[in-house]
Amino acid sequence: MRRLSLLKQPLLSVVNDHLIDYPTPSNLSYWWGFGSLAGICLIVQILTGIFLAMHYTPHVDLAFVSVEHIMRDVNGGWFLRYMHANGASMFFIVVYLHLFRGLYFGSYASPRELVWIVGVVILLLMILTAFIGYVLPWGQMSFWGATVITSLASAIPVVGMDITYWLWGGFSVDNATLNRFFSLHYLLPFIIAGASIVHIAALHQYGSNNPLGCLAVVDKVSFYPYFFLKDLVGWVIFALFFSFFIYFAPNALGHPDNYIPANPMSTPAHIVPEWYFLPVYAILRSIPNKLAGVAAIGLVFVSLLLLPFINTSSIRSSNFRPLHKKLFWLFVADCLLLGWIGCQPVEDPYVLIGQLASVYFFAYFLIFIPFLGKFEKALLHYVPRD
Amino acid sequence: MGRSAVRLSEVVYTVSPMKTGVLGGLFKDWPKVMAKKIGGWGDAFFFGVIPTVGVYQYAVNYKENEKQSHRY
Repeated sequence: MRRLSLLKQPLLSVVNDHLIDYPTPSNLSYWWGFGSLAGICLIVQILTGIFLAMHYTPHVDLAFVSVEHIMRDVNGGWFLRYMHANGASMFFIVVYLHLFRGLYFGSYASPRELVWIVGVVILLLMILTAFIGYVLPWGQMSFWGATVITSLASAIPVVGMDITYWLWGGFSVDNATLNRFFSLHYLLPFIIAGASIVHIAALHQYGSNNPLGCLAVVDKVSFYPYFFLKDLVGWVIFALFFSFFIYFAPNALGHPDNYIPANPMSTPAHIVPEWYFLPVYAILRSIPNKLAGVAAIGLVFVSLLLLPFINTSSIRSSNFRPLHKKLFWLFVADCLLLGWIGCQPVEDPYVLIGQLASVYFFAYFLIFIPFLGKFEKALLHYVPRD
Repeated sequence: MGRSAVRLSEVVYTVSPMKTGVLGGLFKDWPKVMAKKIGGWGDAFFFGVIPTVGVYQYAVNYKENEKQSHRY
């Protein structure tokens, strides 16, 4: 009884309502564990980032060597840095799985539009944070990646170049750019944390979706202990997966060119972003026009944001949508292929594959999602003639 | 508040569902359940794995043929 009275205190009651006694549909599968796992990734990134910032120097002459100082001189510095660098990749793996689960089970559908929209905003903030974080070690790929991506703003008519100079804080990627990127890289994770709280609040307003996609009002159990333990299984498996990369393949997900100090006079043969940006990068490169490429990147996120409103299906879970299930898996294949194309040179046959994959990417969101729901409804009411 | 004692003979030992038969129904439709579980991943294989591997293999063959045709 003492425990219960303690949990009725104003602040703790909020924690209790959302993390302990939260009514959870009893049929949630392991696919529902990636939300809490993403929260853990964010905490890991913030904690390791705070300690790395104690030893890092955001200056073009010192940034690269300060990272090497962390690796060689700081006690446990290598661990902190590998955890932070690989943690970003792990965070994206978890969030992409979380997103694809939402797509498959229709978690974006009414009444959870706000949950989805806040989720897409969190993804955008993550992409921004990861991009500017990759610039901080000031290696070759940091410098040239920053140059390529910030130069995309110059494609905007009339004001493009002014925006680019404003982003750089000068006339090229230089010390001012590195300083502002460091400042923003420290700030943005806390904004992501705030947005995550909004994401959870919006989710708990109507409750979690479930593998059947139906309302689960009558069949719910408290989050603790049932789904805490289920999530815990996922956390342990994730910890093993994460540890493998930290201890055995810490540079497998990075680019070797980033161990060369940034040199504005020497452009690398192939400039590639981190793996989690490759699908979007492939879409950008599949369009020969720079402005159209930038617009296509914008359209990727607009499509994601519009998803709850252009979806016409009355059924949420793809378990009961055989046609959508096939299109969904083709979409997964499409994203994997785009990711692979993104790190290939711009030549045949990669160009054509990238273009076809980009067409399917947008067709899935802007053609199949809106029309498939209507087609399914027509099939449901179809009566064959004798 | 007193608690009523539970007689040991009334306690059903349910560690193994095979021995007690409490969850006997769970395994009754096992082939059907497994077919449904595997069937759910059939689409993932045919529409997810095969297109990915197929397109990748097409590109590898294309590059190889291109290399061979420029060899001499």
